[in-house]
Amino acid sequence: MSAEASRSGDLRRRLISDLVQNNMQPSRVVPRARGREAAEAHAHPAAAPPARGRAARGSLVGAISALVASFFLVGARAVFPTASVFGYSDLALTRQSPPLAARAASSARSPAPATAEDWDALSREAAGPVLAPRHDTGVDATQAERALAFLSGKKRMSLSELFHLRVNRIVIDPGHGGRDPGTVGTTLRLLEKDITLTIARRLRDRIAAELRLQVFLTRDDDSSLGLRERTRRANALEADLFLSIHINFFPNNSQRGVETFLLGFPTTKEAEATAARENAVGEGTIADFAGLVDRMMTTLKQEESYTFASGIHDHLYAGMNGLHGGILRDLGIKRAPFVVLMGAKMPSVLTEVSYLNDPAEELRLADDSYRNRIADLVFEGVRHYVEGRT
Amino acid sequence: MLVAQRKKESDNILYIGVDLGTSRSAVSASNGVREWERSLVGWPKDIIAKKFLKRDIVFGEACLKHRLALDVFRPLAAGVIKTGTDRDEEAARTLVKHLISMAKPEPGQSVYAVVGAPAEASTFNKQLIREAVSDVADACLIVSEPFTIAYGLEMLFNTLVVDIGAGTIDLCIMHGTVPAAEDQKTLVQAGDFIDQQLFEMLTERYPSAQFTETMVQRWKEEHAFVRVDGSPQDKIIVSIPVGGRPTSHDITDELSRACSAILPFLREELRTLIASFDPEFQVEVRQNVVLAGGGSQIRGLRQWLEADLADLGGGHVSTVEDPLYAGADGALAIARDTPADDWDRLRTL
Repeated sequence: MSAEASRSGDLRRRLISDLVQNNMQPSRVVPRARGREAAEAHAHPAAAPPARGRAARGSLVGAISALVASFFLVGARAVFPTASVFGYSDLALTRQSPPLAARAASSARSPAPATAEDWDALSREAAGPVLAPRHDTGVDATQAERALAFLSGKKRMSLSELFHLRVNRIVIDPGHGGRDPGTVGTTLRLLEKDITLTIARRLRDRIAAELRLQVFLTRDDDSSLGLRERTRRANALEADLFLSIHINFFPNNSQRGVETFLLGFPTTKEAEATAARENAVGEGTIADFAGLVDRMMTTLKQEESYTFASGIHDHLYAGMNGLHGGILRDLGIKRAPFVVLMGAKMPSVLTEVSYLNDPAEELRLADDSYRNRIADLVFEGVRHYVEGRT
Repeated sequence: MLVAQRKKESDNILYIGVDLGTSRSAVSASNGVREWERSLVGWPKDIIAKKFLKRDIVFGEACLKHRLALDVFRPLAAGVIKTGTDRDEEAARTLVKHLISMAKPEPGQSVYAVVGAPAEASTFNKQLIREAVSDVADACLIVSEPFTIAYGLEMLFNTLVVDIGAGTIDLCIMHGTVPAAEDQKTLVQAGDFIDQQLFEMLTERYPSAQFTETMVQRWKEEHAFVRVDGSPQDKIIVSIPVGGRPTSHDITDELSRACSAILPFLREELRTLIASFDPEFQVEVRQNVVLAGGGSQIRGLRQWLEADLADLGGGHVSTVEDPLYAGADGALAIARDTPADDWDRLRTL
């Protein structure tokens, strides 16, 4: 057999191995080289460093640092024991709720309760008295390694990364609803409230089916719902993530793009205007906001919200820009004072997934398939965040 | 394991390569079966239609033939599986099952399938495809269509595959790895876009002519062309009824303009993808551009692309020999090359 044929065989084996790996773990991207690196790997397949060697070195470091990490873990619990400090310590500890768990397990997706009373009943079920670690918090070598990196400042990471905390429950909020239509399209008169509900339902179904998480919608029909009520429901369920879905309307008619928001002081006039529009149903005051933000900015919730927002925004923008032939503006991740995000105790994000000021986009949004594609892009962002926590 | 025993086991496996396309889907199997079908699924509208058709479900060309008696679904659009309604998803599942059954697996035979789908469908609709296949196959791999083509052609290095389908044009740069998101671009301005443009232009030019989208699609498939540097083109005359009377119509200019409508989009993405590649290998990539899919049959397109690459330093564009089966054959090659151990792992999914 010639060397070329042998190399070709090696390459095909490697490609198929990557394909199988991709199919076994659909969301994971197999790291690979481009251009010259790939050519070198092709020519010298044996030159690639074996992963086992790295793992062995890691475990040695892990063993040495385990004691340091154990100390840190205990210390962290002692210093930050409650939600009042972190605002989202329920990310670390979840109340064990057999009825809710059983309900979620019995159905791939968790339908939103129909009435406010249902929501209250569900919250009571979720609010059992027992606090138990969601995960085994025993320190393994990898965890110890991460702790060491965190302590030494060599690697910037959030505490949820450090403790390897997982997401179990997500609340999705379809923006507006009932007597509040949100923005209205200029040609077909499409309503934001209808579009957000379709996208949220699709997103819920995919998260429940593919990520096997408990998912709740703040509304599953065309009902009116106050902005604070939305986060109240997420808090009552002790959700790990809160995602509010909206459709934008840019005053500048030629503007096209997607943007994602976290709670915070606005850094641009446009972000301020968007927040004013989404807050239009009129709850909350600046004083409420300033006090709350002061407390929150001292916590790591912002950091997690940003990571969550990044995952969603990157996937959404890349996908939408591809669908629009590369003409969309990346309006980025911004901070703005959205009332709907104000009371949330968990990482929370508001995403403007599309825009209704452009008649061509409105035409696309009239098609359920297009809405589903948007939901799929958001789903990839959620998956990116969730799997980064596992 | 004894060689004889291993051989006996491999005899009892049917490998299938499936090309799941927006307009047409094709199947190549290790037992020699090669079939294709229009990607259409139809359910009889009522009990009378069911009795007349003598079937609960109809696939492919028969859907067009009997479309007045059927609720016809086209499961893929714009590069992804339509999922707006339960019926949309059911149509996709049913089509995938039908395609695999076309390979005629024998009772007791293990079926291992590689499904090539448009690049975006292979990402977003993985679960749906896997569920559909799981009813009729023992294991499956889902792969993006341009990759299956490159694999089948053994052009895995510094090659740019341009797969022009009905719903999308998928561009994929191969550099010896499974393509990542940044190696692929998807354009929704593809075959359906040309049909739409042609339909609108003909409606405007011949307001009294009576024609359907299916007729427009057929004219495109038979005559599509792109003008290269004002090269002469025979007139394209088709018969369209006017007031019930068959009448000859010249559609040359409209067809040329409709086919050319995709060129600016294709040009931009092609150049962006080449420019994003390692500069040391860009020349080689330009010399290895491969056109695949039904759209590769547009006359003059290959020459137009070569002429367009001239100001980048020139390039060579080739066309796959068998656009209908290139994807399915590549998928079958992947299925055959996948080691038995890996298929065993995939069985558990």
